[in-house]
Amino acid sequence: MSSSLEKNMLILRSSDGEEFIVPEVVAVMSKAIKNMVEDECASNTIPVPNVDANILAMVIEFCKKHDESEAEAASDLKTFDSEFVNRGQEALYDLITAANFRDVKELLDALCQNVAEMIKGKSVHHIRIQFLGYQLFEILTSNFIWNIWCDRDFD
Amino acid sequence: MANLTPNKEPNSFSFSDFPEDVQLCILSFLSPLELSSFASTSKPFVSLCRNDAKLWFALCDRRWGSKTQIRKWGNGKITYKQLYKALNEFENLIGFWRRSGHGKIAGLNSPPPPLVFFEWGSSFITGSRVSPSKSGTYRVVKAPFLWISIMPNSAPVSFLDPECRFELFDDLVKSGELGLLENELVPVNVSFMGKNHVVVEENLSFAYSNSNSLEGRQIGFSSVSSSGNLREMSMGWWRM
Repeated sequence: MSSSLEKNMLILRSSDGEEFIVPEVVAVMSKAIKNMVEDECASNTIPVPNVDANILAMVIEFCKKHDESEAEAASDLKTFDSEFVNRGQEALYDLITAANFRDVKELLDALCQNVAEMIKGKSVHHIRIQFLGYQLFEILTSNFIWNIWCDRDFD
Repeated sequence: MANLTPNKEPNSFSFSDFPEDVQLCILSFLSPLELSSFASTSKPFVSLCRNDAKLWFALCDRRWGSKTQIRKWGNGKITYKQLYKALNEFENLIGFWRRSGHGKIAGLNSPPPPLVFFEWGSSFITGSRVSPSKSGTYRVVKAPFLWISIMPNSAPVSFLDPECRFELFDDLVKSGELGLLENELVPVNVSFMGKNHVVVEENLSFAYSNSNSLEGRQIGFSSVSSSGNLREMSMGWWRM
């Protein structure tokens, strides 16, 4: 099997068993995978537990783009990044977890910046509801009522 | 009442679900003002936002980590919160400035440099005189003459070399060890007048404000007077 595989290509296997063939330069943008490759403990197939095929495909797409476009204009890459990270909250959460766990710094930075943009300019109770899982009724009935009173720029 | 029923749209993630390093990475993109509003959302975040070694380091590193070595400033003894404040101000210096008026450096005939350039160093900011090279080409010569940094007690500290004799910061450090520093370099205050004008003046209080003992004070005084019959100087530049 390894002989049929071109040199400098690696196989990544997602948690749900799907396999992706990616160039080594792209795969090693994940520091976790890089370490495995350098320690030579990676056989031809590298399992990527905790990351399903859907998310893994996205991560690979991101890494490929960043690998190809090193010579490209930085502004193009920025546009790509901001479009790439503009996803639903669920995908965003899974992507952040994957990027953090696999240690893909560029991706993690782009995603974290996206979350930070969501926090910027929000009022305190807005942040509580959107990011801290508070429900509106909880806030209204708890002792936060005073905070809201002091900070009532309801929208 | 409709508004009071639980928000049916599921919040698929909560900030506290993330591990701490991811939280720090997210917060490092915020400004101090945005952070303070974030910190007032819940108690655990108050302590996270006060964490100097983690959060304030992350903030400094995000903004200036690619330009300078955050851990080296103030010999690593200063809090990152203080460093953030200082760098936020120093950052305005970066770039080209042109001389305003003629200024004066007593004892020297040459006026202060007409064109200066400030840039990041590893734990300081260097101001360099930019002048045409003597070879008659379009090349320019960059000679550092002003160093701005921060002391472990978080006080800003700047030195001026009126004659541009040092090529590198290392030379400066070496001459400091040899004891040349006191006589050759002038401690100065660098202050902004608005955003676009910067003024450099001799810091006469430097020598004794840094020694606590009475003996130290006297030594400090004497070194000021011995160093050069109270040089007077002030110079200013406009942003280009």
